[in-house]
Amino acid sequence: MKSNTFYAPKTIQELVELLKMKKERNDLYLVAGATDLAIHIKKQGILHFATIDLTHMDELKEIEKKDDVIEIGAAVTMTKLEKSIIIQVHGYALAGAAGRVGSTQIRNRATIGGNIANAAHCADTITACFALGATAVLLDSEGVFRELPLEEFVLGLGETQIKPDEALVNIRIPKGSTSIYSSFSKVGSRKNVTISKLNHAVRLVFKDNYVTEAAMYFGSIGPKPIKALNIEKHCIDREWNEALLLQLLDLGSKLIDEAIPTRTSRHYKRIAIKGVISDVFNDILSQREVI
Amino acid sequence: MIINAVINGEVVQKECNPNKRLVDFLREDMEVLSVKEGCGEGECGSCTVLFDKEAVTSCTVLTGQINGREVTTVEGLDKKGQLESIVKSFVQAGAVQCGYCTPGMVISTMALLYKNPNPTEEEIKRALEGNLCRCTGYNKIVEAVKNMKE
Repeated sequence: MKSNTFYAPKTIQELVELLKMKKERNDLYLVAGATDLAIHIKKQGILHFATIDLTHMDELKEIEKKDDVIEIGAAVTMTKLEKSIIIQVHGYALAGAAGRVGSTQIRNRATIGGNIANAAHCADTITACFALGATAVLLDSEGVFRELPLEEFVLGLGETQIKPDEALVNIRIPKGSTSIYSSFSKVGSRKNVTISKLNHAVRLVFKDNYVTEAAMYFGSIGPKPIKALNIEKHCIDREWNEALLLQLLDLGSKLIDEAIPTRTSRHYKRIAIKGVISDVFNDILSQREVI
Repeated sequence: MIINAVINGEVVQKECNPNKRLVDFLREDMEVLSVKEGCGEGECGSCTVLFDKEAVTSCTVLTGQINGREVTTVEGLDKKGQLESIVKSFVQAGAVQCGYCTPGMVISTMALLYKNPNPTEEEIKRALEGNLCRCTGYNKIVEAVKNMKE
């Protein structure tokens, strides 16, 4: 087989045929925005390889409202996610996360599918998607789709459940309602164009000003975003006010001590977590005031 | 693979390695030398080009991906007569020192102005956040873009 081949499928059927070939080869990469792959091949000094480019598949570049989910094509860019009205309404945390990824140039190319399949521990959209209860839809070389919770799909640093003959084609998030709110915040070594040292996403359901459901995740403090069970539980049936915020800040610092008890960055992150919790708290507060 | 793309306003058909990075294709195969490689990681923005009128770092695009699309660099802006006014604005504001980052800055500025002819200072800063300059301290560059919109 010739190396340095570039396949650009336009349809799902063409992609399925290429996945059959991918099963037999180990030099074939799936690529979308290439913002991770181009750096990887340069750093590793890989000279001969073949690619299946997903950026010419129009159906993977759409964000669609279905019955009870929002379906996001794997090749949807960060710019499109950030600006999409559908995502702002049904997955505000994801729009926020996409808007904080890299620079304008990177957001114009980087895709949600790439960010998730690459599975960096600091990937911002993964934390947001976990909080939103997203699922991953994979397509295999037989043309069969399988859907699984994103939290199961992402195994850890750079590892997912993707098989050699599979491609990540869609991300689905449950549709929001007027009582559901979500938010995202992150902290890095500078304000913008920064890799998360810590990121945080929440999805809350309210009845009046009381929390009835809570999903809270923190990224970049483990191989994949951590579900903050204690903090989630603490929020249930409590009013979203300053008193609760103070309790959440304490619980946040405790979470850092449990998650990274030996890492030297714990001293910094114990404080930094208070910043991201406050950001998210205030963002939810202002979203609720507007309505 | 034969690439079919519009590069700087001209229809180009060229045999090339489609897995080559766009920055290398532009410099080595097309001799478009305004595109500079800095970090090679999509961080510094000195290799920024317009890809269908959007700013992208050409070190993170594979050449095969430009098939059927349009790529523009400052050479292309010059051909279209869009370069002179922006260069003038950069020079008058003192926004050019060593000049290595300037082609990328100019491209990011154009991408912004195509979409938003009257940007605020915040919008200018956000559009240029992916272009690093080690000389000017950025204030002069933001000023140059502000003067452009006026």
